[in-house]
Amino acid sequence: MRTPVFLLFLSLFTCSTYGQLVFDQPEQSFKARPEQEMIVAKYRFINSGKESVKIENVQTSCGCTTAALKKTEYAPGESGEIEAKFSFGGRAGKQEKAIVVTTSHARDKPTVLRLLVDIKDPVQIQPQLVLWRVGEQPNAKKIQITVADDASVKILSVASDNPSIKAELSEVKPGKEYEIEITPSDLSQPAGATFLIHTNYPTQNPRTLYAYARVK
Amino acid sequence: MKPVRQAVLILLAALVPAGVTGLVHPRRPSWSEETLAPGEEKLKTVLAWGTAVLWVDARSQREYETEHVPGSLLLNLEAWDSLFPRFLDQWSPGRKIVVYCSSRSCEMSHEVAARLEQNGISPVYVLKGGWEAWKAAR
Amino acid sequence: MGFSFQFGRTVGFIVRVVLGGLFIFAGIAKIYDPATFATELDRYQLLPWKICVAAADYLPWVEFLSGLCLFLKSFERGALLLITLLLSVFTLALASALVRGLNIDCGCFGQVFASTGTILPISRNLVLLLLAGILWTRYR
Repeated sequence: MRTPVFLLFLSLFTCSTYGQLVFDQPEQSFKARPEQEMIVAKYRFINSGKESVKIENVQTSCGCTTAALKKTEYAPGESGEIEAKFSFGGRAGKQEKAIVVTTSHARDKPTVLRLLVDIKDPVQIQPQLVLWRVGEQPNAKKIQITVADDASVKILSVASDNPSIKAELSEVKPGKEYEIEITPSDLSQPAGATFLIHTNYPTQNPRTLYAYARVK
Repeated sequence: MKPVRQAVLILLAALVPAGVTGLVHPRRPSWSEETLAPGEEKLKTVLAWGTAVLWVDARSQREYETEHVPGSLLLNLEAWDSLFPRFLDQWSPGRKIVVYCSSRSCEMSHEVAARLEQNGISPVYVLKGGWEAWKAAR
Repeated sequence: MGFSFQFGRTVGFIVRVVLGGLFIFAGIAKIYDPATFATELDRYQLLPWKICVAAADYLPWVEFLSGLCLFLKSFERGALLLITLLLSVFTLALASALVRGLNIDCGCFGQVFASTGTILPISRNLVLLLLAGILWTRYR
């Protein structure tokens, strides 16, 4: 029964062990809100081999993710951890970052640690921009504000910084759905407005959100 | 027939339809280099568009201040609220927007391009090779 | 002895249907759209573009014919040999991308590092190799 296939199959399996360092959780997922601004993930590992292992390189895929180690050499049986910090930098949605760990024991088979974060902004403004062309009919346009299921956010007020482009807030479903109706009074020349949307979220530090109108 | 002989016959038989595919298949890949992901564009193509292009720099403020594509506007996610209105002031519909970042910026150009498109702004392209491609061409 | 013989034949048949069926379907899917397959091959950055084009035109037909021939007595073993080879090569390529992909700076180079969409295909391929192994044992 010793066929070439089985041998190939077995060798493929052994290729998947990462040197001698065995990681508890090489892949970690998080859910976060944008205002958290960063996530710290700890990757614990243990030296399961008979020799001392030196971590030669810990490389992140780019600048938004940093990784830190307390020391580089681990005796057999010793455990340690790699602390990864991912700064959101304004990002939203599903993010996936990677940390590549190269050890002295398996230089050509680095370990890949993954950090997955789903950054969900509970408040969605769609669209953030309403646009008219010069000479168009000054019909009103609407901006929808939707709040995620697991949150309740109150839109307190909406103000326009341009009196000739008015913004009117209406509550479709308190705490859940709002609508802003934008009405320009004059489309004979280019113009613009910024709308300040005041919310009560998060309670410690309520955010002002923005939307814009342009006449081009 | 030994298995190797059978395998070779199958491999030879596959050459015929493969050749036909390469010649006439409507979805056959072109032999010329340069595959572009959706929304991406080569530097050469973009430069040919000339002044129709509105360049958008999706890197950090520091990188932008050090050096940027002449005439480009800084627009990243970190300072979106303060930068987006400035972008809107410069943008006019119909201009071709080309977003670039650097390899250290973590796909930021794609994220900025996506957010622009979400707001109904188009056409938006991402520069293949990013800032590095621009520098290499200077 | 009679039971285990029947059992062996049934298992062999089921495995052939699964492996052969998968390869036929996979082959057809790629025959339908070689351009996309060529782009996917290019992402692994293992082969020059022109080789990716040639492979995208050729490999799907090899997959399809191998899947079919798994059901033909006079070509069954050759087909299995090809299927085993293809699976091994694909798995090694996937593993290579998984390991290397993250050493490439992410960003505007269009090379998104290998996502979790690589671990699943690798596991799946290993299972398929196991199935192929089962079929090989019938030829001892």
